[in-house]
Amino acid sequence: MLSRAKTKNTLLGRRWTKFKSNRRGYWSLIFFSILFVLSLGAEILSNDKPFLIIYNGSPYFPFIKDYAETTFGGDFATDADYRDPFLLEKITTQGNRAFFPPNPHSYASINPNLDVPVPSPPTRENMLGTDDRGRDVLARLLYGFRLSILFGLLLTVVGTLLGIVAGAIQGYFGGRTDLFFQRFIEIWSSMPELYLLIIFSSIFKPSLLLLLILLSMFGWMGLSDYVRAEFLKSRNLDYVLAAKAMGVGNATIMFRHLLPNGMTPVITFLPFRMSGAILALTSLDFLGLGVPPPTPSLGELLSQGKSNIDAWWLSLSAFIVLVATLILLIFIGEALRETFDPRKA
Amino acid sequence: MNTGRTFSVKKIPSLLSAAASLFTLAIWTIFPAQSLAAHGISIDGKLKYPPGFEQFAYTSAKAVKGGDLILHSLGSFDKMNPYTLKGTAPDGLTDLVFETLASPSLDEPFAEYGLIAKDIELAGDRMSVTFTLNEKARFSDGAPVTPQDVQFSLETLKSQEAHPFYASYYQDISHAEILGPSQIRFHFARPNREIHMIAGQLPVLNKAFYQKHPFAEPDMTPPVGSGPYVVSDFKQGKSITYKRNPDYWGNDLPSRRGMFNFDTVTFKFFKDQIVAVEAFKAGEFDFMHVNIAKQWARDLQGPLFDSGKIIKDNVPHKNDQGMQAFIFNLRKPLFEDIRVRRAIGLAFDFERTNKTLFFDQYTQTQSYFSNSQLAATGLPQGLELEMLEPFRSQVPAEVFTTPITAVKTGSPQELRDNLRIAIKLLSEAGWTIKDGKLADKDGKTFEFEILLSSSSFERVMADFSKNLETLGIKATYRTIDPALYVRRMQNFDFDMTVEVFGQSQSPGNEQRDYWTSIAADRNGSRNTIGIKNPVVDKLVDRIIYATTQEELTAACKALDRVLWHNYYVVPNWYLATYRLAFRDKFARPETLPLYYAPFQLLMTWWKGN
Repeated sequence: MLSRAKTKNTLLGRRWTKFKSNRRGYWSLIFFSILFVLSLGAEILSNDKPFLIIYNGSPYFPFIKDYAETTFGGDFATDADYRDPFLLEKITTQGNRAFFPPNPHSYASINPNLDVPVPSPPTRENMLGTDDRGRDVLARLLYGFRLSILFGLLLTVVGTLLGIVAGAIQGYFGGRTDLFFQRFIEIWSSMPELYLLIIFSSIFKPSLLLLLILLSMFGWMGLSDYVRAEFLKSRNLDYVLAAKAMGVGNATIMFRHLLPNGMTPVITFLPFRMSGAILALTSLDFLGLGVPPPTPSLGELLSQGKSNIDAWWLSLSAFIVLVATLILLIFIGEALRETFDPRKA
Repeated sequence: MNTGRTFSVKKIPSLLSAAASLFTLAIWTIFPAQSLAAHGISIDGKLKYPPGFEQFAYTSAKAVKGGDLILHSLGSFDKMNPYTLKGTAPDGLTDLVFETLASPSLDEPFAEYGLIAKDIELAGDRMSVTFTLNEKARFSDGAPVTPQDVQFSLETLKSQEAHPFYASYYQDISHAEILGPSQIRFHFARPNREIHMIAGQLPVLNKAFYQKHPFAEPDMTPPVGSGPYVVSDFKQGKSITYKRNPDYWGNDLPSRRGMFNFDTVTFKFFKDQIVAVEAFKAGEFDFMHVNIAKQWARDLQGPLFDSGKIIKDNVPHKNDQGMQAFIFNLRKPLFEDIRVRRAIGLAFDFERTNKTLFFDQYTQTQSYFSNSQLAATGLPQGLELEMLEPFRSQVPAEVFTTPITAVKTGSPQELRDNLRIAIKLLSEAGWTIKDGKLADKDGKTFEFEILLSSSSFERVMADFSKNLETLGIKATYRTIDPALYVRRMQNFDFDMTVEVFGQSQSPGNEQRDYWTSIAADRNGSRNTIGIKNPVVDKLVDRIIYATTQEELTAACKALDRVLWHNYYVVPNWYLATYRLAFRDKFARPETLPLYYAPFQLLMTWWKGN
């Protein structure tokens, strides 16, 4: 009882109660967390490798260890493709058994048993059909969702950190520093981001890391303005001046005393920044400037849907996943904003 | 977005680009011939149509004039002169508004009959050709076509003002000499087997018009030509309408009779092929040449097609389809060994690709001269064997013992059998599998990158690279920006890529650029593979200096075999038909031409009932 009362009285506890009172945001958070945790285990849910194979009486764990096809009486000393009908027969007949995940496809595995032109419509084997090269859509959605969220999280964290540091320096020191930094931001923000991406994607081999770096380089500017404003506002307040007079270092003042007061815009922006990041990745993939094949991506699936108008299972499923993700994030963001709104304290 | 075949479509005016790909420059050894004034010319001296012929066999006497034709085009346009480099001219200008001295017949490999010229006379020494102009020939403003116009055309097209293509195309025509009020002679710089044919392809421009409107200026003034149509209306970048010229001078010419029947021809411009297909189904235009297998099989179906309102027709043609293939860059040590190249070729499962990606619409390529008489069949015989005999020790034994056969797959079992052979070949070449990866004795793993200019090939590569993975080879694929792609190809900076070696009905000089050792070292040449094989060099010479059709055919077949059995490429597929979809409003001639483009065929149709 005591501890509960205690949490209720801290600032964080009060805010959490307030957040919970926004039912839509609260349930969105729960639902989103479930989806995210599930997608973290994508390898267990959807994989072309079995958990366990009982072959000639002894157990094999393809999940943990790579086996050559020759292990199971195949021809090639390279990694086995367990969905190959030839091998599948060897490991599932004559007393041998294989235990596959619920969806026996990986994001990159091409269904070798497909007997119809791709993209093929949903069947018992491919529950959401296949994409335009015979890969399972459900598997690609699952892995693609996870990648989008992780990428979004990472980009948000990096962008937010950069934004905070830049805004803090500008706002705290003010004057000439602020003046020059502001001009730099003006120049930097007028750089054509999309063209830079196009140019870079032709010079370097496209990769997630490259996208992360490029998008981070431009993603911090919006946030730094708010942090700067907060710092500018507070830098001459009494407690800051007092701290200075007592000889507290600049860094300590900035991050210990000023930052907590400037956190409100940072936190309220987080979910929106994340949905923005996911959307950025999706649109780049849609344009073909994003991640290299065969990385699973929602944008690539959408662009396949565009060029295969008759294949509704491509555009519809990618659309639903994307819209659901973004709506959940926006609901969460809305609840957060209300939580941090001082007028409603 | 051309899933089946990739041609880099540069906006060279369509007629001349067709001409350039169909007929190419070739130097011909001099042989004596009689100077003859004739109604037509051909590469081998044979003409299908006699003097005074009625009309081409692939046109119809029943054709009537009238009706409207609406077509589509992709992209945009911003000028009205199709012969300059800068900007983009609308489709149809070169075929409908401008005319050439002579007109090709579409059912002979390489023959031309008089159009603006009524009479063509090749000099006995083949060093000049004399054209007598038809006195009836008129520009659309009523002015007669004069030798001055012809001379102006040649000089302008060879000048810096025109697209650089023309300067090289007409390089061997040194100058034009006006002989009289209706006669002009073209002098040739050097003996060239095809140059008189190329002279006949010269479009005749109106000198007076271009003195008023500078040739090189991008200008939207509708041009004055001598052709059957005039530009009647256009919205820049959106649409253009051509109206049949009621006073057209050439309606009764044998080379024009029964053609150009529609009163108006309109091109509507679209930005996106997928959108265009939907617009076609909605009735926005009448006729469509479909070059994407999936669109043909999946998008073009429904009630409109079942009820016959839109007709789908696979129209056969005889155009030489050359060779489309995944090519090895032989400059890379990785691909030096013929056994390695053969093993990689065995990993491509054409049948599965054709079935799952292309709806079984394509034919597997079995020759460097697909769909033509020049393709090698069976075992070498006669003249062909004679040509190959001196090189017996320098070429793979298969050249003499095995007919050209493509890799057969069809079932997972057959693919597995092929991969077994591949593993054997690779181990003979010194590659073994270590830790699931193919590696040589120094432990270097087998990795390469497939460079693509169009993402439509990624779906083909997904399957191919998966099969290579089974062999322990790591093949990645990557689509890059077209400009960068061109630069990297010019510097031969790639491991493997997709390449099309287009062939004409009459191969010649361009073969030197495709296959020979000299070209392999010259940046920007078409010998992207990097073939440096003395036997190939000699056989290419046999093609270029062939003096008879028989010799040419034999040399092409011999070259075909040597190239094939060296496994320089992983052959792809071709299509021996045009996939045409059109509204049920046309009447068609009974006979099809043989060597043609879809638009040329359409110009022989007329409005139905």
